[in-house]
Amino acid sequence: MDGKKAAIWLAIALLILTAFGSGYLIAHKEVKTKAKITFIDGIGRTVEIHETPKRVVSMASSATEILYAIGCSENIVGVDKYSDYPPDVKNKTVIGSSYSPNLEAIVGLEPDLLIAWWYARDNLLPIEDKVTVMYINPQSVEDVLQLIRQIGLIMNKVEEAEKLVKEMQSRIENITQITENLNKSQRPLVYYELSKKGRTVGQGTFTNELIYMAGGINIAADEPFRYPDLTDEYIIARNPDVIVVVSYGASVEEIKSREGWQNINAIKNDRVYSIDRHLVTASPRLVDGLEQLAKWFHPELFD
Amino acid sequence: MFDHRKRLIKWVAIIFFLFALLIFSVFLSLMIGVMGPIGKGVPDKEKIDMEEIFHILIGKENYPSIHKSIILDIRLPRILLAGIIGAALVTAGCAMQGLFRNPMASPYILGISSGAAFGASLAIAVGLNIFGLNSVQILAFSFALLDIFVVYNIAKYKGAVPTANLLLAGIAVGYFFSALVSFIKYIAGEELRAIVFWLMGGLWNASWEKVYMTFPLAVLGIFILFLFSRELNIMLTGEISAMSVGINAEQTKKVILIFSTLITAISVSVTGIIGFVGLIIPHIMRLLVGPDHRILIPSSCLMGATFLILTDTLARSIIQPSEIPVGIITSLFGVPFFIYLLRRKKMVRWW
Repeated sequence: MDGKKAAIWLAIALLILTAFGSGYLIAHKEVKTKAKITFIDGIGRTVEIHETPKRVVSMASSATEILYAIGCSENIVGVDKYSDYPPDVKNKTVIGSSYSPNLEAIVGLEPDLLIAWWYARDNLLPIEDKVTVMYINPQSVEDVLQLIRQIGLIMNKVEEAEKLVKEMQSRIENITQITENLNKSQRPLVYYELSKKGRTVGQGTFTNELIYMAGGINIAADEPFRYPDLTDEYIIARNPDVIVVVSYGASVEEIKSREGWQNINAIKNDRVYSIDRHLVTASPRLVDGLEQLAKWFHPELFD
Repeated sequence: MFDHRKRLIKWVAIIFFLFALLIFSVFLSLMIGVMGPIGKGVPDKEKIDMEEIFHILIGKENYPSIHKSIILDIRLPRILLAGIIGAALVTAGCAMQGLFRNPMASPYILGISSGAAFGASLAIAVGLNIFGLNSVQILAFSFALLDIFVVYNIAKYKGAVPTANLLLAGIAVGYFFSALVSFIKYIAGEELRAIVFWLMGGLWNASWEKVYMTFPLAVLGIFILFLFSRELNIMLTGEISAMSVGINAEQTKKVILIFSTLITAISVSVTGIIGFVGLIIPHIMRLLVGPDHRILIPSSCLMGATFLILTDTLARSIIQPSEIPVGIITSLFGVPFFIYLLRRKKMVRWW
């Protein structure tokens, strides 16, 4: 038993040593050289770019679309499996998803830059020292415009990026200069449905912002969670004027036929619409989504 | 006396065979990957052939650094980590099954996985970052230990810890943490999918750091549990009889609990919840080598390492370049084999 006791103490000592040792290992690895561009990415990391990237792997559909929109499609050598626009993306090598990336394929592609969603970080930590990684985390329309500028700067496409931003801004203004003057009673109440009945968008989401910009009021705008589940009762009681369902969710017919929903204004007045899921993400096409929503909310103003 | 020697020779042969199998599976797995000889490859880039892999392994320098990175920094740590985690989970499973005298026991039986899941989900959802370290892992590990601490103290009764109490407390606390995980999943936004993937478990984010963090603790934990295999054998016959041969049942139980918990907690925190391995591999080995822990623990440990290395290799190569969570593969391939053994033996003498 004495030998065992000694072994146990040894184990505990080693456990503590390992904890400190690995902490030290992780804390002490940094390489310093002069960079061409230094910027702060979406999660606050400092990223250094030494030369305009020629081979980019994009693990964020949003970044993929931006790269295409500013004329860098040639530079994309790999994408994640959720990047599916524009259609040409399907000719690119797929490297898995943010949740289970194939690190070997990413490194094998020898990219100069890897763009990924912020939540992919845990999975990309092992290759952060081999590939320049930029994490993105756009949470508002303004963030998306900033992101376009940032990617433009990195890819040496400042003019193209600025042109795209200007164009988007002017289209956004066309809508908001009309909608910002609407008072509360002129704005339709909107229920926006995601994957299942009741699942919607609340505070701090991109779609919530788009709904307001398009001149509507989201019935869940004050919910504390970003993706709350509303009860039937609440939705019926709020009596939304317009219902928008995202394309991967329920069909318009299904919503119209839901029991107890017949008296909702949106259903009585046939104002239930399905929106392409790509138009409500952090990509340049969010303007299309905004225009679409505005037309549905205010057909008299935007047709 | 003669029987004794014959048994020893048999045991040595078993260990030797399983060890050879493990080495073979490591080499096989090193060959497989997107960029490997049996891989899909990526456009415009050369694949790494078998000869090159061997040369890289023995330290020859004249190869592209990217290739070295792929073999030495991505594939090798992943294979080693799979081996360590497999061995740790299976050994913990063996010890738990022995301790609880219950074939349903797995390393996760006391809710460790739920505790770890809560820690990980919390870190993912809040985006915590402590000291620049991987907070997911740290929180997962801490909450796994917290879980076991709470369970142990709930189960404690007049200085002793009856196994029935432990089981029930483990289930209760486990459910509590599961509920918290569900709550976090509910309030999470885009992080939801990241949480779901973590819960499914996998080795795609293996790195040398994780190998370094896991290895010493796992090896020591396994070694100490192995030292206690004679006690585990006697515990199987009941705590009272254990006491009659001079074993302090409470003390032994505590040590076994602590070390199986530690190696499970470190495994779960690094790879997420990889189910099945720790539950079924000990049973498979019990069917193959018998219930004596002195051979059961080392052979299960080797088999667990081999099994997880091979299933993980399948997971990363079936639908290249995407990956399947390894838990799906472990169950899909392990269960039929287990059922086959179960049917062949008909009457099972578990203990």
